[in-house]
Amino acid sequence: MKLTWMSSLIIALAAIMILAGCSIGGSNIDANSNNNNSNSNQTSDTNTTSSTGEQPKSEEPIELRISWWGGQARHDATNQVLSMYSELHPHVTFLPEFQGYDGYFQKLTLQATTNNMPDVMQFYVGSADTQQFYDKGLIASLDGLLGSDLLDVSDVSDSALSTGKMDGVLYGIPLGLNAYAFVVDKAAYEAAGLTIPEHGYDSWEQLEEHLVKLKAVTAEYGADDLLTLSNTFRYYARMFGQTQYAEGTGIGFDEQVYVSFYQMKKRWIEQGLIPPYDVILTTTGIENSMTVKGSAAVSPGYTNQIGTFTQATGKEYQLVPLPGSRTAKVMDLRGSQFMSISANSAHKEEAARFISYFINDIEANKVLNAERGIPVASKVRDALKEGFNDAQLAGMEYINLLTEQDLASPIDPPPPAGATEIERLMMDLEQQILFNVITPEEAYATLKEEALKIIERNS
Amino acid sequence: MNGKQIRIRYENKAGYAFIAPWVIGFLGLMLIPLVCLIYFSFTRFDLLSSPQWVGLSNYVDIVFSDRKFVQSLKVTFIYVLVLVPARLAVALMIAMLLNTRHRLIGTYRTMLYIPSIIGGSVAVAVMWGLLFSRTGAVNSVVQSIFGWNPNISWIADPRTALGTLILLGIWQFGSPMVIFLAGLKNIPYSYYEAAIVDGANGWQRFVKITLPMLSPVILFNLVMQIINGFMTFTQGLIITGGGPLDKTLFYQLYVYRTGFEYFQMGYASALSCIMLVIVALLALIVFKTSNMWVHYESRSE
Repeated sequence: MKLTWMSSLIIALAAIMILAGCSIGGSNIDANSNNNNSNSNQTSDTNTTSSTGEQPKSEEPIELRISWWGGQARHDATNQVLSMYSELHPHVTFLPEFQGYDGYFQKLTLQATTNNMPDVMQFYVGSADTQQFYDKGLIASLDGLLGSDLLDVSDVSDSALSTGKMDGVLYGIPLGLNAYAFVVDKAAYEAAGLTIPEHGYDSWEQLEEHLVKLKAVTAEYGADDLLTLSNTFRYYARMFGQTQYAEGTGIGFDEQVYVSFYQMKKRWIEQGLIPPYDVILTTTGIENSMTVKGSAAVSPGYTNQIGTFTQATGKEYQLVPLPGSRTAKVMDLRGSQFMSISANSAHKEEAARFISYFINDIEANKVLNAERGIPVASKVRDALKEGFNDAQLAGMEYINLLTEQDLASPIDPPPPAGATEIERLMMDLEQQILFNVITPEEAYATLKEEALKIIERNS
Repeated sequence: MNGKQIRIRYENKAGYAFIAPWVIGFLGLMLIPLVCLIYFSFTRFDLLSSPQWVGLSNYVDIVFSDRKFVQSLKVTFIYVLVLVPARLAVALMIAMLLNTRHRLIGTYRTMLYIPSIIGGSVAVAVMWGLLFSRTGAVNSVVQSIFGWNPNISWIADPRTALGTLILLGIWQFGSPMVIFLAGLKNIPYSYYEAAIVDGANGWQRFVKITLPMLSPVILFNLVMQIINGFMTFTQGLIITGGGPLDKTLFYQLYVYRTGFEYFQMGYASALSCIMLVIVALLALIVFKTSNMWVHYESRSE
């Protein structure tokens, strides 16, 4: 009976053990990162030879493993593009692995442990989830794979490409651009007699004044939880020239920023400008948001999510930058997701050619239909523009607005190892503040102390 | 002589062949992982680099300076101590109702078993979350019956969140119920007849005949349910995410977080080892005390 229990408990570990045996070689992985270096040298060599020779396309059949996360629409479109590519390049066949987002990085971690990562992966650059893949040298640098017959990025803007870089090294090609915004219900603003600030509010106080009036219109709340820890807090800190995470200390913001943020959140909840905290905790997904239900007029969201709002309600929405955009350029442009190549891939060049096709080919992108975000290659973007629906156009206009009006600045530096744990700690503290267990000041003292410990433990 | 030896050798081989699937399963899925688990619990291991030996430091950290460990243990013990008796009582009650002769009794049995099959699933977890939210069906029903709306979100309020999950657990009474039902069918009806002739009422028959005769089955169910209770994970992950205020941070959820979110496999292994010892001790206590209340028919004869 004891053993029955055991088996279930460690089933996850069992999977690793059986595949890898008890000794998981750090040496294996080290060897790989060495390979990686020598490979990229080789790559640049082959690169020059193939550009001079051109003909020796000794096309021996290869199989590329590719993995991505997403919904059914993405799975269907991507699979179709894979077969289109195989038709053009009969020597390349694919072994796709696709799933939803939950568990995607856990699976990649297990594959990395067993030295079995796919050749091409949909990935993130610069998030807490993925940082350790770079730290361990599991992701190939793409710098040596650029070039017109390999990975062609001539049509991708520098600012877009820079989202895929860390410390100057290119690790991922962004598949689409995304930006954070407040999604505003146009009709509610009209009913309240307010004008929508196209370039964002200059201060949070202005927004608060408007929320009071919007609350009168919706007769319930002014907005959904606009002050999310997972997204908004980062931009709030940027308003003061600070960051959420930092090397060494773990957190990159001072007490003033933290305390004022939570005082504001508490006040908004008390006044009913945003829903009570227990409602916030149980509201998941845009479909269940108060803004979609009509009991609020503003909701946080990313540019690729506006379609979900319009589909759910049929109303018109506008994307508005966060407060402080004009004064402090708090906004940033993010790659929605990236394509990366694993360091242990035996077919890095073929993988690079495929990624090149994936971002540059117009027919392929017509199938993909910008579902991963506004395409990064300008030719593709122009070709697809006619077919865009209103939501996609709104997203693209918003991104143009941010760049043209100079409301955005580069994204924060990559978070330190242990950032996932710090984020979890910040969530715990938020709950304690908003359930009135501790004050924001006490929370900050705890956070400062514990974050430092987490960083020390992870270094 | 010779033929006999060959036959013995053949029989040995056949024996090994038959036992092989179990042995392979035992080694591959239980013993080797268990040994690795114990080994990893003494290391620092982030899955991607090789494990580093750190001795007892994981255990020292857990026992002396991990508030979440204490909290998750507390949550899990409250959950098990409330859930197991409640679930067993409900299961026994329903089993006795189903042990009568009725038309459609088969249909009832199936219907009552369904929650146990689907209850652990993600879909039900999501549904439970919606039922007990502020605008959910539970508040509406309360309003229509009592004319007063509690206006709280049961799953997001620190006072009620764990209770809501216990309720979900009780609802999944199917598997102990089926075992109880089988046990009840094994009690000879003649005992009850004799008791009725002697003038015993329903309660007396239940206490003096049903419970003692059923006690081995109760023991089995008790142990299984305790183990089951300590393994609770899905509900905490999906309905409440361990919150609010860590009031539903089940032990397994905490193990999962340290292992697969923070990539501290060594620490997570140490946590698992501690839970292994706790459950083994509890099972031992139940077995040791069982001879005081479990009645085996064969022994008394």
